Amino acid sequence: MIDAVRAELLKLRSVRGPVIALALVPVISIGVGALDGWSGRRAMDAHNPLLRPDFTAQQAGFDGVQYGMLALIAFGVLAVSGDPLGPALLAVPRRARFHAAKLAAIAVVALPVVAFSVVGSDLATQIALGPYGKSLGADGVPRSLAGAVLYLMLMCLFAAGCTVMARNALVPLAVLLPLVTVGSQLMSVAQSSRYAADLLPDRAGAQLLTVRPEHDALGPALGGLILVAWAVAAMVGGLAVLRRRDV
Amino acid sequence: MCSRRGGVSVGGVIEVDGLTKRYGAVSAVDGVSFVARPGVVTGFLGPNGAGKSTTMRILLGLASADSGQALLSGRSYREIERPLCEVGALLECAAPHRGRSGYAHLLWLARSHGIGVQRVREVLGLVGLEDAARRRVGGYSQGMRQRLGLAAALLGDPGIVVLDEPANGLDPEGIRWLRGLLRGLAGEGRTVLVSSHLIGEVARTADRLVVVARGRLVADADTADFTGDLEDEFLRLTGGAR
Repeated sequence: MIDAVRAELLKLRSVRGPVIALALVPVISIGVGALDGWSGRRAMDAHNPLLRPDFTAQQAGFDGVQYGMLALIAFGVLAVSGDPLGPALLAVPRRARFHAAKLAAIAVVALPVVAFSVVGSDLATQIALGPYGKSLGADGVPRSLAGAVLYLMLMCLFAAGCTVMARNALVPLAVLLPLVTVGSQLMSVAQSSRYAADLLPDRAGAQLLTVRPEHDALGPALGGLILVAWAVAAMVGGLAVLRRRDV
Repeated sequence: MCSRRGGVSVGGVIEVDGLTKRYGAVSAVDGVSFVARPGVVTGFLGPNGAGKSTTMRILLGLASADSGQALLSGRSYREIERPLCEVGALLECAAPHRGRSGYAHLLWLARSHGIGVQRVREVLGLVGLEDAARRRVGGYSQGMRQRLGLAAALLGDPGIVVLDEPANGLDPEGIRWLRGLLRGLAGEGRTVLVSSHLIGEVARTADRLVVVARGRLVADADTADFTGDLEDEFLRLTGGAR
């Protein structure tokens, strides 16, 4: 099993797609984080009425990683779709072992990048906010930082599991990216679909990085559990498809 | 890590028994049975679409059979703990990722079995691919891809070798080299199963011929037992398939 994971790690390193996608995660997270802080500072300096009434420096520090997450989802998809099954299954013919090794390798590679991006993005936002910036140790922030890492990791594994089920990159990318960027936001606007939207993986998981949850929100624990359920379902579903699959 | 057999590799028996695989109403493989033994090159012959590749994919655990079984040394491929150390395979459906270098392809295969980098260099030398090893597979000629596939098949020093159309894309010099390689592997006591749709090529190398047509076994005999013109015989055996 260890050998199978090491082989998967080498596979992830030796093609371009996943490497580029993963490298974009900190670039986007920290870049957007800095931009977000800078525009917040300008708005507050100018007493701009367009600034969100619920704006807090603590929460703004988590805006960047939600864009970096798009690259991370692409990484999860490409890590699976970019690996031809034929040679993979000749080397590791037990499908459950191959599946577990692949997911473990994805998690091992993504975790340090995600942790760095989450902390770096928050830090960039607070620095860019200048006098309005708050400490990363402010009340509720450390928990949200840990929650953000968990959120991104689960979304990445969710994307990888979906890709194993879909057997290609096109469908998961074409469904997951628009869903995460606009779909669940749109659904949450209409009151009727709002409760359903709250149960979608990205919106439920986003509770994990909410510093001060609203009273009617799911809250980090429940939201996190819902995302865990989505990720586990995608990974188990992937295995079920892989087990029956002829190459 | 593959345990070495003290320099002498002894292959196991390949047993295909009543193998059947249907795709919808079409039987790709229909009750095929044969045995390939150690120390012998077994040619697996048939026209394109006769079921050779499907049989090999089932043998190597990549596809499932509807009935019957295909065993290597008495076990199915998926039951082998370190398969590359016991069975080497060249299959079109197991072609390497085009964006990876030949070296990286062999290296991850090696790593999946705890095989050292030294052995990767050995097999690259064996197939004459040292100079192209760092280039991406997408830029390889078909012959170079076949050589890389053969290097991957031999990586674990396996006692059983299963090759699907290994001569495809090789130039005349490469085909002669391949012939010597296959004879050498069998001479060391390994089991060699090699498929082809070209009767002439296989007849020069194989000791035994297994012929399929339309998914069914039509002949299974020593090459020497085929009397008369081999090509005529092959076309007579498989002719009804068209």
